[in-house]
Amino acid sequence: MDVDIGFDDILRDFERDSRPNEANITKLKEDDIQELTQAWISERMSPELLDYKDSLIERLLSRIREQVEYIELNSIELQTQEKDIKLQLMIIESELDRVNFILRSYLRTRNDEDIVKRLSEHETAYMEKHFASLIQLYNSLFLSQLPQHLQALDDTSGGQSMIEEPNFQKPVFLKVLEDIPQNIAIGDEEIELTKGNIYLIRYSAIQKYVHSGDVALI
Amino acid sequence: MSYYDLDDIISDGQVSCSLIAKDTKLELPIWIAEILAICSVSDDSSSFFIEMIQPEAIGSKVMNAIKTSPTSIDIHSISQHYYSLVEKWGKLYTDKKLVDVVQQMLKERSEEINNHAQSLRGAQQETSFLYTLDEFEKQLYKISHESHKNLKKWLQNESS
Amino acid sequence: MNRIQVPIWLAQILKAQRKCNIVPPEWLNLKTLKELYQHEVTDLESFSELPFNWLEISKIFFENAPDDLSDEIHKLKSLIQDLKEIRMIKIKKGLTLINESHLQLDNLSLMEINEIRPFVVSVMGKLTSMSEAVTQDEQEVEDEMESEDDDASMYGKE
Repeated sequence: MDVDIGFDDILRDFERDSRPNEANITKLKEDDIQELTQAWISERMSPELLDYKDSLIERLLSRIREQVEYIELNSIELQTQEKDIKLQLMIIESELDRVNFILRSYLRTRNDEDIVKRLSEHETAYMEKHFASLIQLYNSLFLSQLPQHLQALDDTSGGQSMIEEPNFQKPVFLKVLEDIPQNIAIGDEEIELTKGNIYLIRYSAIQKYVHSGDVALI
Repeated sequence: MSYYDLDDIISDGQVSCSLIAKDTKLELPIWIAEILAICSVSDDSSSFFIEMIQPEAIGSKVMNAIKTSPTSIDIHSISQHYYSLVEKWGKLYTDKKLVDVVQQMLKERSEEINNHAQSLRGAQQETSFLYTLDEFEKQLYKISHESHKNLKKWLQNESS
Repeated sequence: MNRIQVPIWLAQILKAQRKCNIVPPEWLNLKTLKELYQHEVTDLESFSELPFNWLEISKIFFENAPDDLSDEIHKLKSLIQDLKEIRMIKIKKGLTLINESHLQLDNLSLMEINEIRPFVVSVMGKLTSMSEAVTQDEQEVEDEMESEDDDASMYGKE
């Protein structure tokens, strides 16, 4: 958004950012937020678990730590009558809230889906612990009362699997970010994916382009 | 079919007409009929325990009614899980014609359901349509109504 | 007065602190909105190119920076409402083209997608699973026939 502002301190901060070298860094930081936002949306819209954004999350977490430290340092000064910094701190806090919200929601969304190979180390540990307590709960509640051959939670016999798999045929909304040279085929139909267009298509047909980043789930 | 989907499990209990080898007619739930229809009586026999008879719900009479006027047919009274029934039968007998007709019906009925969910037409006078919906269609009506309502609320919430 | 670009959430904070005015986007005025509406009415096959977040942005202006808009706010609001309604009529016309494979909805904005998402995803999902029910079996039948062919040729050799 364009704004007309008449506030010198903030302006000075932004001008500092506009020096060439720092501008690039600011741009990179902005891109990281953008990437997190898209990763979060894609994760929420996709029926399967997507690759964990390892280095991105690392970068964001370390920057969050820096900002928290900055706030802590300066809140002490605030007590000794530094008035101008108040607004700056408020802005930093707002941004922290925003980023933390998306980050938490991203991690939680991932924990609702379960595929081991795409999990981070922490997520795997969490999942194993969660599953162990779930089995314990089921056992104490009712499983131990059932005949032994009915106690399994992963029975796949009788043409009926107890293990739920993601529905890859689920339709998803997507926006094409890069032209896809090859048409995709669904049944007898061929669909051309052109940059900028918006489609509703079953996930299985465009799965690999979600992974490659050529289309974005919206 | 999903292991934990209640509607799916219930629709498996729907009655379908079956015929035992010795010419006795019997009504059985799909889940057992499905098994008996593909089990041989004995290892060296090619005859099965039962032979399924097409349920009336997907018979030619209903098919014709659907083709003539998809939005005025009372699907609810034919089967409360009509689309699941069609899917199961379609899979058992690879009945492409059946699926085509019912897909066309869903396209037309869903448009009507969406209109009702947005209460675009004289909502009161046409509520009778809503009583003809099967469980899947009711769910459609509910989620469509919900999302239109939510957006309206979001747009109008101007003070907060 | 200096003009700079910042994220809209930051502009809102500065605005609330009376530290800035927010410059409305070039489409958020009566003249452009009327033109866009005209385009929606005359071209029934496509949607005019509004930003992906046009409903959110106009809502933010109406609620947080009404004094930065150059036209009367109630007129702007009713035009936005008109635009939304005419586009919804076209969206619903587009939905009649739904089938089990895909639906193309270019220039639809995020909130418009959200409004129809649960409904269309559910309808297309059902159409898909019915189609799959009869095509999967065809595949299996083909596989079986192929393996029978293999058997036949084996016997042929003997």
